[in-house]
Amino acid sequence: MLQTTAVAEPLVPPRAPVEILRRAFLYAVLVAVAAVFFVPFLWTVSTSFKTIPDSVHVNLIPHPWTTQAWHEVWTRFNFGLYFRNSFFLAAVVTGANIVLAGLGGYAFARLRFPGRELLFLLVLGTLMVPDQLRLIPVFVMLTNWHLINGFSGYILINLVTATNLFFMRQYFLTIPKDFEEAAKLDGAGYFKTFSRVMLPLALPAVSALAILQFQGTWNDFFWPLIIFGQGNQDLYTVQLGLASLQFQYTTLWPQLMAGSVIAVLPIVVVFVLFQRYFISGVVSAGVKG
Amino acid sequence: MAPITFEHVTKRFDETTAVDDLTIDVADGELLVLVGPSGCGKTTALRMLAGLEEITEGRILIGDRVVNNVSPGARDVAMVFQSYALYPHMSVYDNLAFGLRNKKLPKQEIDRRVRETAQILGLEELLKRKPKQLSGGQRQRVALGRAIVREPAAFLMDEPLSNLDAALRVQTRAEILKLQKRLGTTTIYVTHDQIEAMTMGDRIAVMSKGVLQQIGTPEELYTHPANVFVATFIGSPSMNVVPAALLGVGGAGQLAGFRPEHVRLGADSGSAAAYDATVEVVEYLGDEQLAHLRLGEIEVVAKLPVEPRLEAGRQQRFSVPLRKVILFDESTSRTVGTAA
Repeated sequence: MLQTTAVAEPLVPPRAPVEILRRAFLYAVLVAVAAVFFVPFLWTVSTSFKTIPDSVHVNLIPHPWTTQAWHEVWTRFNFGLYFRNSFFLAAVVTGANIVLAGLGGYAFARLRFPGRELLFLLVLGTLMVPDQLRLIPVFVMLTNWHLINGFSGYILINLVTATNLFFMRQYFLTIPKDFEEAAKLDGAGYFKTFSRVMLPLALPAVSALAILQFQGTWNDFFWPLIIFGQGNQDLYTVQLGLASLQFQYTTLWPQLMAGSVIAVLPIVVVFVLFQRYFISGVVSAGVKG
Repeated sequence: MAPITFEHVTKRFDETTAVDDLTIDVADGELLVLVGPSGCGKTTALRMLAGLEEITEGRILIGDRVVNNVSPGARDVAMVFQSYALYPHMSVYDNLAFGLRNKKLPKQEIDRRVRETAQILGLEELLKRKPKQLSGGQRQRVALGRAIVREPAAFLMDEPLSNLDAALRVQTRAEILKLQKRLGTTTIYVTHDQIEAMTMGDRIAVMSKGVLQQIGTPEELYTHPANVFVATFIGSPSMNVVPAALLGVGGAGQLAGFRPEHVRLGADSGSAAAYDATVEVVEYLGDEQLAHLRLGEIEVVAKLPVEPRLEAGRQQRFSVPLRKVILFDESTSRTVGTAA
């Protein structure tokens, strides 16, 4: 009878010690970098649960622990209303950009009409103009049209951005023409080809646009301040609300941090829900475009 | 079903002429194959018929209707694309139904036609799937189904088999042929593969550099090519073309063409052109052998019975029956006649 006493050789040889060390070092660096980005947010959350005197201390654990700041931003500082205002503006502006940048991007990518290239150059040209330079003309224009101190002026100037038009055009250019031609032969007109075939095919780009535009509008401070941030506090967005927590001589840090966490939450939710589309949209538009 | 006519059709892209004065009549129910190398204008011709390209000059008729200015959707033709172009976000059912919905047919009629087409093509189990959940062959069948379901006057097929592997291509080729004969729908089929053209076409139109070289049945093209291009393009391995003087046939300024399978080993009777050549490479194919021969500066191919086996490096005498040798005018490349 055959007997063996030696331990059998493993089928897969273990990793070399150098490789283990290399990996350990790599993960240590990655954890350190992640901490650099995460600690400020952690500190924000921690400060929102502190009292005002405790908020100036450099410690991550609140002492004592209180939810007073959270309670105050919702009640005394009216963040519920600001939240609704921000959400309304972000939703309307994002919706308008999806529709108009979609239609415009498709037209610039695929429809042949006289002056198309010139028109597209003009659109791109607006990207070169900084916001600060547009400030006075836009303000004067909206004042003359009685669109100051209301949401309509803000919505009007953000209905569609050149960046989004450009982004959608580039994405449509990457979609093979065969789909459109198949739709044409199937008897679909321009609008049906766009709405039933091309727009669904551009879903990754639409998702990326939606997330970025929602985030941009939600975080916008400059234009809301100019257009409706000077008078009626009922029109305030979350960002304007946060600014109102900073007074000339004091800052309500716990309240400001609680408001900041509230401001971040919708963006986190939107990103987590749509990140799959968002990443594929940005990647494909970036690589193929 | 309808006949199709190209009347002196020309397509120019700026300075480039993609299709030059193309005139073809396709009979009702016929399967015509447009064949030629890349860039010969075959796909452009098909796209003009589909309405996807403007026609620079000439007329295209479907039935007795001139369709030059008719939109693609109103031409009553269905196209199978090389890429299939199935709508990836729609189920197989919706892919098939899309064209019918655009025609605003009643729901029951759409459902009936979709299910009937699915049954013909064996797609019943796949109706709820998205294209990405299908194999290459299944996608190909859905693309065919999308054309069939509309019951059009003509099918236009743009290299529909080029994305399939060799075995599936042969199988699908036969299926398309059966289906076309069963439905009797006029079909224009574009391919660069001459074997596909030979096996499928009722007639074949060979194109090169935008110009129609010859149109005829597969046998006509094989046995009576109109010029050197058709002679060498149709057939695999292609026809050997050498200066006629090398074989001692024809006159000055002529080329002699002969097919590899017409080469005999050894000198034949007086009615054959004989030549000495060196065997360079022998490809053993089981039932026959392909010999690459050197005839002076020129390489010719001979397809011979497997016995007697040839040996590389040896010089041997070969012959071709004179009636199988086609003579071409060297300056025009046009066929003059046979050497017999």
